[in-house]
Amino acid sequence: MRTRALILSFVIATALWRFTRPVSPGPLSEVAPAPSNPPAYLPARPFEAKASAQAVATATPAAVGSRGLTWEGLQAKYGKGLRAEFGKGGRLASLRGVPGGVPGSADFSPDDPDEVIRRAREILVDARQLLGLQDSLPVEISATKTNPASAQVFFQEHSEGLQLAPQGKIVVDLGPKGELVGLDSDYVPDVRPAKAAVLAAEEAVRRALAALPEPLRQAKVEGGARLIWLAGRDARLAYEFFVEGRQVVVDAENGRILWLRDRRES
Amino acid sequence: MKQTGREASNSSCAPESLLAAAPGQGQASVLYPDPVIASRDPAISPGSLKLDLYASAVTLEHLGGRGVLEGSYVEVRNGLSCGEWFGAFDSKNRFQYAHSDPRFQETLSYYTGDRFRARLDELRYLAPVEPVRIVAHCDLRNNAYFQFAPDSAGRLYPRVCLSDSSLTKGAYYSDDAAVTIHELQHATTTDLYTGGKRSEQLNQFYYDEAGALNEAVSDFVALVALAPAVPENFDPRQFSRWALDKFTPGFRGTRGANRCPEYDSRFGSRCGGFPGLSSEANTVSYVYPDGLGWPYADNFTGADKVRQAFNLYPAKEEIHNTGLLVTGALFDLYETLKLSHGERLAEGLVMKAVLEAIRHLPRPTAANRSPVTFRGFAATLLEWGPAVGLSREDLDAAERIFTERGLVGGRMLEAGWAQRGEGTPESPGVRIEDLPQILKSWLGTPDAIPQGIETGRNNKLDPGEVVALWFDLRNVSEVTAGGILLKVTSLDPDAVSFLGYEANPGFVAPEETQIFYSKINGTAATAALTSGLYPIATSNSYFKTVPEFRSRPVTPVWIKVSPTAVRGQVVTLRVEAMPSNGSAAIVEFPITIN
Ligand SMILES: [Zn+2]
Repeated sequence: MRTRALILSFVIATALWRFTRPVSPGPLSEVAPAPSNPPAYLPARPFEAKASAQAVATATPAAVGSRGLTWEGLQAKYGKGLRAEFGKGGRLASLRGVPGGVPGSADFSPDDPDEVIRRAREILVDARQLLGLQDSLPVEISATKTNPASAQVFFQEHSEGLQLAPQGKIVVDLGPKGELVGLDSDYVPDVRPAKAAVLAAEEAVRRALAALPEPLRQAKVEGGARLIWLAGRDARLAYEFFVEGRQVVVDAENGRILWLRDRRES
Repeated sequence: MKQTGREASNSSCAPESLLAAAPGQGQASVLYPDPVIASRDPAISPGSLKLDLYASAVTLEHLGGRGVLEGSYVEVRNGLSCGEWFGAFDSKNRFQYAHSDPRFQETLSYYTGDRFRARLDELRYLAPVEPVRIVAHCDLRNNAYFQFAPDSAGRLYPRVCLSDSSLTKGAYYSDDAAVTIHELQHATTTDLYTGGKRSEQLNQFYYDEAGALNEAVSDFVALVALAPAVPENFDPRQFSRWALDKFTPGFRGTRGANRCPEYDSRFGSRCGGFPGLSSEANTVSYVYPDGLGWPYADNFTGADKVRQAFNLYPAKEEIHNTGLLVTGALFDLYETLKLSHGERLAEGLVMKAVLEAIRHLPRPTAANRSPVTFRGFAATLLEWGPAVGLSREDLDAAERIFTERGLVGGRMLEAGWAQRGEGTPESPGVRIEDLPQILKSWLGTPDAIPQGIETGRNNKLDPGEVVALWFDLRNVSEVTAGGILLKVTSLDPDAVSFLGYEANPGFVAPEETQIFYSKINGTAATAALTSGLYPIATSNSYFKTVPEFRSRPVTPVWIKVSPTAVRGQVVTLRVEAMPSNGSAAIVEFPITIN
């Protein structure tokens, strides 16, 4: 009897503290403007541009037009102590350094967004060959975090003017002197163009609701941004919706559910 | 701002047009941090008629000047009565209500959220920078959560939902400051790790150490923020002594930061059995990795409580549960630093160390879809501690505490620690779920399950089926494996391939996917749990470490069998098992097509 009560109570309690579910990026409705003099792989004009002071770069990276540095060149410039992991196709997937590596400019401050962005862009330009960055698949700054101890710059890959998901992110981690202490990338260099949307947004909403459990099928549907969803090697044009905390990505060509996750963190 | 669904006549909602009121401060009446502490009565319940007797007067800060609970750090709305518009309104910022008035909970939520986020700002870790919307009386769903939610224009904003209980009258999650801070910290953790305003999280899989760390940090931050308010005769390490303890009749869901669970035979003597693990002695210590998976609250009776916890608690890998030992390690560090630095400085130092470490955690790549581990977090905190002011002595203390908790050093798993386990009689080495009713309910897209009942109940791979599959890894080392990332490759991709992201959150390619298991007992832990008076039916394999693994779709990989696969053909799935505490091991699982 007690066992049954305990299990029943547990069912209630887990409904109460629902497990959170995994992750992939959603669309970024606020995209930072490109620098005034962007390197070749950064677009001259932003997508759905909206002013964001933190993302304005002021410097022209030194390696614009170049192919970037080799791994040895990157080590020579940013520190022999850097450790790298290379993924599929020999592309750079992650870098780890330590605080106290090769500093940035003499007046670098991790609390200065302009300085931080300049340094992160410099690193990306230098690592462009290693990362496999393509002019046709530009990355844009989606966020910058600064404080007196360190700074992080988040880049997001785009294809055909839309954000790529669930991959296509690069995060550059800088130490207090601008030293490169970390870089993680799941940038995808070979995205085939997606087919055009044939599904109206209203029909996509219907598909999204149909994929949810019954109590949610009458719920309010929010979002509806379009993005490029990578399903294996296929790029799919997709709609992204939110229904009471659930993120649902619907294929805009055939209405298939590409992704369904409860994004609530309880 | 246009509200929806608000009763125009509801006097507990703010008017649609807000007039200018005094900015800055306001007066409020609160039960802080929760009714138990406010009353000093551990037995007080949500149904008590005396709650108002224990309310105290406080000052609200950082109010925006429109007469509602809207400030520079948080704004509080009412979900149930006001259609998520502001509830409490007073042109002179007097927010003094009885506990039975829904505006009481709104006011406490503002007070709690504002204090917490102002402190984050003071420490230079305010994230996200914009005010977080807290929705008190959010709904009737017995829950509390954070999410970056879309607004009417599709832009994501930080939102915390604090439900009312549907099980107990007068029970509101917004009456528990620990719950409010826990959810607000999710906003901070998520923003620091992902950059914010995105539908990404620290969690990558349903259950992984990244998700558990997310929960542990939220519990810890709530405990440390509220510690100064906890009187001496109460346990500052108990998380949510109101909502998790009192809202579900017959069940306590409380968590905590002690070194052992409440049902440990020596819990009352400061976990005197630490570090230990014994079914017979009723001892479990929150030490990595053997301390993973043991619930905290004592919901058991009798002499064999550790055995009951194993047998009756069905969510051993659930992230709030597996995070407990990290919460405890961080609270140990806080209490140690308090001895040398005092309460306020120690709180600031540990908070900064934790938040700074989050900024430097690795992000997912195709090579590792879930790279954050507890041990990696501990190492990162030690590495970045000096940057936030930890002294050499502080770092030595942190290293000692993390070592005691198994988060630093310790014996590593040797190469070749994993082998193919027993699995099931139908499919040796693995468990295959092919029953269409179950799979359809799990996946949410019934069209994706092609098989009928004819082939879909033999727990085997039949041509054309889509199935969920688990690997019974056996751990032949004495050491328990913790935080195991499985990289799974189909060596026969023409016959068996993996479904995409819609089913496999660790999808890499049709021939490769990843998944995460929390732990697999080593032979030493198995011996400690299976001998003596109260032997537990466990062993040193995944299936026997987490016997309820197959009851939920949280750790399987989803496989599609080609319709042209040949009956009798043996296909091979190769698993590279990467624990956080040792070498990767490669194990091949041959499976015969039925
Ligand atoms: Zn949580």
